[in-house]
Amino acid sequence: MSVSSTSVRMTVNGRPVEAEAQALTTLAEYLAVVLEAETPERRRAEGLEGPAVVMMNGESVKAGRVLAVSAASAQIRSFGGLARHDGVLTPLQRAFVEAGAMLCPDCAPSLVMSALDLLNRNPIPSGEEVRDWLEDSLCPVSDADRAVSAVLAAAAATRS
Amino acid sequence: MAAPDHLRPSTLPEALEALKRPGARALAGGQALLPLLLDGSEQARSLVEIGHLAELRGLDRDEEAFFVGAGTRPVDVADTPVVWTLLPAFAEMAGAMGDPQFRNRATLGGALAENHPSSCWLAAALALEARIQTDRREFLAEEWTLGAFETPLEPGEALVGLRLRIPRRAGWARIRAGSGSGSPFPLASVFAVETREGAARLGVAGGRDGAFRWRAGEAALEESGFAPDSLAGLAPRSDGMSADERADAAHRALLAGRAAALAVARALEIRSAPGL
Repeated sequence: MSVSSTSVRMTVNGRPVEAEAQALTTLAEYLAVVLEAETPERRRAEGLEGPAVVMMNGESVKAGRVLAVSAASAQIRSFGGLARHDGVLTPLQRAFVEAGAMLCPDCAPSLVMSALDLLNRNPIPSGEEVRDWLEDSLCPVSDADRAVSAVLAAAAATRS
Repeated sequence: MAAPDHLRPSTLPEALEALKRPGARALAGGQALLPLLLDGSEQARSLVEIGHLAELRGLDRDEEAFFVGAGTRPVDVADTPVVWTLLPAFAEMAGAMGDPQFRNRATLGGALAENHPSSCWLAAALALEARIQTDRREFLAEEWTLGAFETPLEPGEALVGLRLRIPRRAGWARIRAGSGSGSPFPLASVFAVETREGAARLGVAGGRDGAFRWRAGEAALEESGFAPDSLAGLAPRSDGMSADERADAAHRALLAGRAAALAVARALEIRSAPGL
């Protein structure tokens, strides 16, 4: 039942993966290994820099604040796993790009993942609800107005 | 220091057995403990995962009270309709604390075990006449804080949950620092309650020794009526407040007084406990 390093399996972006993790290996460190995101550029593409928000069993979590062993058997989706393999963006990603809201390369992917959690729970949020939801995730480089309008546009696009 | 062992028991009795190991620490959502373990300021020889245990999850109620399991997350409280019906201020608080990722992972038990002086949970527990239950004992909320980050919880003892009395009305208010302040905690947070018997209770976060009941504020509400005006010009004593780079103790006391009046106003504004 107890070992200092263990093999941890989970499903990442639809793909079963397995890698060694120690008890204090974070989910962010684990994902960097299984997604082969060794460089800052690759980690940014996967959304593993900054707050490193990923979806875990359908809820957003900060990957640096969850242990890999705690995420064993979980379904994980990273920012890099949102777009289709042929590069077609989701409506939410497209809305962020069109609103000019992908401002901070470290934090913007996490804003998108956090907004995805909001839209999963509340598909028709008000502007105020979006602002409240994202408020604590906005770094100084981000622009709250652009992020809010992107989320509202994505919600409208999904409804139509 | 060597990496700790990781244990994932499947029942509460198994977890309690695992917590008897020397240097064992219970890990629920990890939002309080994990950053400290990662930066080395706290140590563990074994990490005993408890956040998934069914015995610690969930919300139950009877006519008098809510029972909130120690493994309950803010998002669970905020997403439970009966809490919005009977105790909307508690649901409002749970749905607003920290950021969404914190609300998805943090647990009531983790917050109570950490006893951060600015945490909203104990302030609410104090106002709601809570009893805090462990696997072997029960405490009044007033008995919980032994100082900032200090509680009566002993090594190997596990928090089971919190029993909250459903009040006549309740309100919660906070005053936040500007965004980017670097702390997830508000500058002031107060939970105001009028009990079914008509007594006033004010649980205030941000005390030097942890959350506390503001008795002078409660007396003013009972004497002059449960209304924000009854607290006009009043504030808790500044020598009982915590201080940090965001606010000194005198300013924090002033903000706590304002937050208390806002919480009372909110209690009068929101509809709660129909049929009681």
